[in-house]
Order: sequence, then structure tokens, then C-alpha cells
Amino acid sequence: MAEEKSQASSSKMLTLKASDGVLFEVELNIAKEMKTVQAYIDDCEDIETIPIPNVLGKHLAIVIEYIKKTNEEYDAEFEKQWNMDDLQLLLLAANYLNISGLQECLCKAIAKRIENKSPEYVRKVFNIENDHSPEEEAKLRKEYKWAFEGVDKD
Amino acid sequence: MSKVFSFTGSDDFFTGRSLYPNPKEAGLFLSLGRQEYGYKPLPKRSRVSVPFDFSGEKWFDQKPETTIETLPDECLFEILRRLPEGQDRSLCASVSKRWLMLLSSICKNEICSNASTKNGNEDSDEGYLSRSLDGKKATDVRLAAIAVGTASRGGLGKLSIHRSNSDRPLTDVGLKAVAHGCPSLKFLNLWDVATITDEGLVEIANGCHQLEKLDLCKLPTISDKALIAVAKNCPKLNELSIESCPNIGNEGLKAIGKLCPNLRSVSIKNCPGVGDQGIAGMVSAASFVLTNVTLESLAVSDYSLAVIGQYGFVVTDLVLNSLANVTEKGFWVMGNGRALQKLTSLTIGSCPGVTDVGLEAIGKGCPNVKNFELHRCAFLSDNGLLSFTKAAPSIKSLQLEECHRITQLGLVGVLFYCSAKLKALTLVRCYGIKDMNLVLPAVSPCESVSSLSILNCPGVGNSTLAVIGKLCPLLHKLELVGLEGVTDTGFISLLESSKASLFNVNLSGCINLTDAGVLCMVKLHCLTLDVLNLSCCKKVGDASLTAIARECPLLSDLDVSSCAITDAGIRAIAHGDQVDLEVLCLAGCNSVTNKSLQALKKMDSLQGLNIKNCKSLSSRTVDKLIDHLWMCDILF
Repeated sequence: MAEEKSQASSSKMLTLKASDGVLFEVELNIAKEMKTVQAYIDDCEDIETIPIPNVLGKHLAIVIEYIKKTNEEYDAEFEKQWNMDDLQLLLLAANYLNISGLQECLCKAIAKRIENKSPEYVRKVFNIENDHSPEEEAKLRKEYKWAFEGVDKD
Repeated sequence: MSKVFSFTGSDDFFTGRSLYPNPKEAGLFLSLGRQEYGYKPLPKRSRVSVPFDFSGEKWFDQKPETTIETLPDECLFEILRRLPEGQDRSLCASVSKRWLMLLSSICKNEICSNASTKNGNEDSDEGYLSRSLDGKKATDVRLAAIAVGTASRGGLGKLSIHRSNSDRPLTDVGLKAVAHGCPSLKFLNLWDVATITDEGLVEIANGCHQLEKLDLCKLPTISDKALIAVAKNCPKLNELSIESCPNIGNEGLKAIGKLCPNLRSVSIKNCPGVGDQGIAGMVSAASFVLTNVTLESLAVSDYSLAVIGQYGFVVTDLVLNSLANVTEKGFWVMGNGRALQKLTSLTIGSCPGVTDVGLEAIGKGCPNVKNFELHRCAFLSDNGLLSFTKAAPSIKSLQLEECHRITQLGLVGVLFYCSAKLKALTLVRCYGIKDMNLVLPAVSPCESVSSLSILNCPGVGNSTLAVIGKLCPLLHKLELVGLEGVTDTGFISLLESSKASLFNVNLSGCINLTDAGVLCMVKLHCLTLDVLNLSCCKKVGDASLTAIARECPLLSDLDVSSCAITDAGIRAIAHGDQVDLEVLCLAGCNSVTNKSLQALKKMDSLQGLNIKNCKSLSSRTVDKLIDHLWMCDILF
């Protein structure tokens, strides 16, 4: 039974269950791109439904779509569709599922979006608290004075 | 269908590398089917509950928030790593401390930015920038900021850290930031930072292969391990200075000597762990490059000196201070090793092993020594000094400080027997030199000595000056400082013997000199006097100033602090013949009043004016002076 499974690996289907209960049927070779899932399978061979408790259905759908379609063109267009929050959640999903290609693509995308933006913008968009003390902030501003020129307007 | 899976954690899930372990971030991975997740309320379905068994940690209680803060360090690292160098990284460093510290942990070769940034970044990091942190400012965060900020602006070349902030002390984290971000670092000075360890310095060695000068002082936690790492990874090291580091010992020095092919200058002071093995090992291994050696307050013995004498082929400057365990034999052997042929500058201080025999051996064995200084040598006698003078053919400048066994005989002997090369003789606080009723035979005077300085030798009086006058007729520079026994008689007899012209005269603290002596000097040397210091000569007054003003056209630097001068004297100087008086010091002259303002205003060639403690000058006068002499640096 196990041998049949591995020989017919391309057609074997697996079910992935997202945190909100949404089920996805994917081919084994797609699921194997997610190294986390791969590890799961390696551990218990005859599993059919794998729970993914950290990822919402909608994000899991996007991830699966990415794996199916990924190529250079797709990548370039892929990241433009999502807003910042989605990008972050997708990155968390990709990190959890351990999909290196998607992780790289998303990291690049986020990095590009914060290029040339002021620290205040970055903090606002990502809801980060500024934990530099006032003196440190002043010194940083002085050290990086040149860096604050030509920054995009918020 | 409901299966309960027991899943044991594996590394695949949590890919390590968290700088700031924060359960809040990890919570997202490992939440066990909590109801509050994400934005939307969850649909009502039965959930498969899967207990993940991660040893020990309880992730249940974290409420996930979808902000970038909840991204774990390694995700944030991957994002920040993709930011181009320069402006963007510096802007992100300002976002929060966590971002700054993460940015600083990215090594240069881990940065992968888009091609839009300038290529050939290697060239732009030449190490042009220099930063210095002192006390309160020296924190890890500051170092991280420097590491990130200097990276694309020419690179950090020199870093000095003195002490560390007491509330947020500097640790290895800061040093690691420098190691990752500043590969062009050339000079590193670390003084008095007790909170760093070997690990930090090892990181710097691993990251900064361009290191050329390393200065470590008062670092109780640094040991040989760090030094060995530097030796292995910094082949360009040419200057090493270690002071008061009790855990550094012989192994570190041996490694440095063996592995640093460019080691030119070494200074080791007050390191109780360093002994013969280390010094000898280092000197013998680096014998074809080492030119400057300074050893002070070390427990080395005769053996180290023997090795220096045998292997110091290219040593030019040697300083040996406070070597209590070195005996006369050590100096004798060093002189007889015959390797120190290139030695030109030698300083020995507080070494009980310096005796007549030892010094003579050095004189013979180091024939090219030009500058010799001997401090606090209790055993050297007149005979020893004489033998040394005869044996050392190249001495140009000789300085003896606190060598109390030397008497006037020794002084005469030096001046008589010295080679034609001796130009400058300096005696400081040698209490043994006293006036003697010496009857000098008819000797030919020393024509080479042109500079003579006798500082604070209380026994020197008129008869010594008379002797000196006969023996050194060709003086250009004369310093008689703090000699209370000297009066006009002695000074004038010296002046009358002199056949050459004095350029530079310092008589400060000779309280018994009066206008008579100064007037004689002016009469004889007016045309050449350039620098004249009469400070604390309380009996010198306006008559001297008037004469100086009238007769000394080349005078550029005049110091009459605490002299008995008044407004008349100042007026004389103002109307004097000086072409170019640049520096005038009137400190403590209480008889100079506001009436001198007009005269002082006339001195427009002045570049420096010292009127400190002139109690009779009002602040209004001072202000007016500052306004008028705007090119002049005024101390008040």
C-alpha cells in the first residue's frame, strides 16, 4: 500500500485543513513543497488529512496557488496584489509551512515596500512601538542625518 | 476521522536564530487551536485538536496580534537583509531598538539587495570614518547604530571606546555589531571596559581582517584566547599595545609574534601574566620586522633582555621601564648580544639592574644609539657615566633624570669626553649635582653641544654655571629652570664665556636673577634671541623689557609671567623693534593695569596672548582686547 502511494505520488491527493476548518485537496507533490507537511508525512505515512492550525483558509489557498504556479513572471505579479497585513500573514504561513521560495518572494516584497520610507511611516504601518529613548533617538537622527534626505512623503 | 496526533517538535518548525526570544512571536506557530485567531470570528465547526509536544514551553496564553512585531526574528532578519545598503538600512535602524539590533547582526556578506544600489561597494568602504565613545555614550545600541550607519558612508576605520555606561554597560553584543558591519576597521582602542569578554573580541577578529592597530588597556576579562584569535585573523596587524590586562599571558604574545608578519611596534605594560616566555617568544619570532619595543612593569628577567640583544636586528626604539627582576647581567647580556645595531633611541627607567657595568656594555653593544634617556637610576656613578660616554660614539641627545649619584664631576666628564656628535644635554632633578670648587685644567671646550637644559637641580649654583660656561661656549639653546641658587654673577659668567648666539633661553623659576643678568644677555645676544622665558623671575622688571624691546628684533615668543613688570614695560614692548612678536605671556602680572590697553592693542602680530590672573585688568578691558585683537588667541 505504501509502495503504491509513492509510485503514484503525482496523483495521490492529500487534504489540508486550515485553522478555520476549510479543507483543501492538493496533490502530494504540491504538498511536499511545504517542508512542514513533508515532515508530517514522513512521520506518519498513511495520513490523509493534515491540520494546519496556524494558517487561515484564505491564506492557505493563496499559498497553494503560489506553489502551483510559481515562476518568475508569476512571482513578479504575485506580490502586487496583497496589502501589507496580508503579506505579513502570508509570510508567517510560509515560514510555518517552511516554503523557501515563497518566503524569499515575500521578504523581497516587504523589503521593497519599506524602501525609502520614513521610520514614522514604517512604525505606523506596522504598528510598532518606538522603544528608543529620546537621547538615543536624537543621537540616531544626528548619525543618520543624511539618510533622512529624500525620503518618500508619508 | 478524529485522530489525535501526538507530534514531537522538530527543528523544521522553528528555524532557530532568535536574538530576542520572545514567546509572543513563537506563539503564532504553536498555538493550540485557540479560538481567538485572526480578524474574523471563526465559523462554528468542530476542530481537530492536535496537541503538539514542544518540551516545556507553554504557548497557550499568547494573544496573537497581526503586526510585523509578531514576525519572528528570523523572518524580520530575512526582510531586513534584503534592504539595500545605506539610506534604507539607516532609516529602519531608527524604527525601534529591536530593528536596530537585528540590522546590526546582519553580516556584510549576508546583505542581498537589488541591483539598483551602487555596485563595487567594496571600494566605498575604505574605513574613512572614525568614532569615539566615552563613558555614558558607550552602549551596545550606540555601537549598533554606528555599525549600521557607517557601513555605506565610507566605512568605519577607527573606533575608540573609553569606559562604558554604568546603567547599560557595553557587552559583546555591541562588539559583534561592529564585527558584522565594519569590515574596514583598522584601529581599535578599548580602554577600561570590564563588561566585555573574549567572545566579543574574537568576533571582531573574525570580522575585521583589516585591523592594523590594537590598543587594549585595563580589560580584566580579556585573555589569551582573544589575542590568539586576533593573531590568526588579522595579518595586517602592525601595532599592538596592551596595558593592565591581568589575564593576558605568554600564549597570546607568542601567537602574535608567530602569526603577524607585519608586527612593527609592541608595547606591553603592567601585565602580571606576561613573562619571559611571551616576550622572548614574540621578539624572536618577529625579529625581522619588530622596530619599536616598550616593556614596562613586567615580571621579565635577564632572559628577555638577552633575547632582545640577540634577536632585535631591526629594533630602532627600545623603552625599558620598571623591570624589577632584571639584574646587571641582563643589561650586560643585552649589550653583548650585538643584534641591536640599528637601535637609535633608548630609554631606561627605574630598572635596578642599570649599573656602571651594564651601561657600559650597552654603550659598546649599541653603537648607533642617538637618543638616550635614563630615569631614576640610583646606581649609576660618575665613572659609569664616563665609561658610557666614551663607549657610545653616536649619542646626539642625552637626558638624565633623578640620577642622584651623578655629581658635577660626571657632568664635566660627559662634556669633556663626549664625541663630536653630542648636541643636547638635559639634566632633570639630579640632586647630586652641586657646586664644587673645581679647578678645571685647561681643556678644550665641547664644541658640539648646542643645547643645555638643567631643570630643578637644586644644588646647581654659580660655580657650576661658570664651569659649564667654559665647557660649552657654543650654546644656542639654554634652559635653567627652577635654579634658586643661581644669581646674576653666575649667569653673567656663563654668558661671557659663550661665543655663539643664543636663540632660545628659558630662565623660569630662577628667582634670584635680576634685571642685571637679563640686560647682560640682551647686550650679548640681542640679534638672535627668538624665544625667551622669564616666568617667575620675580626680580626682573621693566628695565629688562625696555632693553628687550629696543634690542631684540627677532623675538617671537616672550613669557614674563609673574615678573615685576608694570604698564611702562608693556608700553616699551608695544613700541619696540620686534618685527613679529607672536606669543606674549603676562599671566599673574598684577601690576599691569587697564592703562596698558592701548599698548596691547598695538601688537597686531600677536597670535597668542595669555593674561590669566592679571588681577588689575578689568573684564571690560579684556573684552575690548578680544574685539580688537580678533586674530589672536587670548587666554584670560
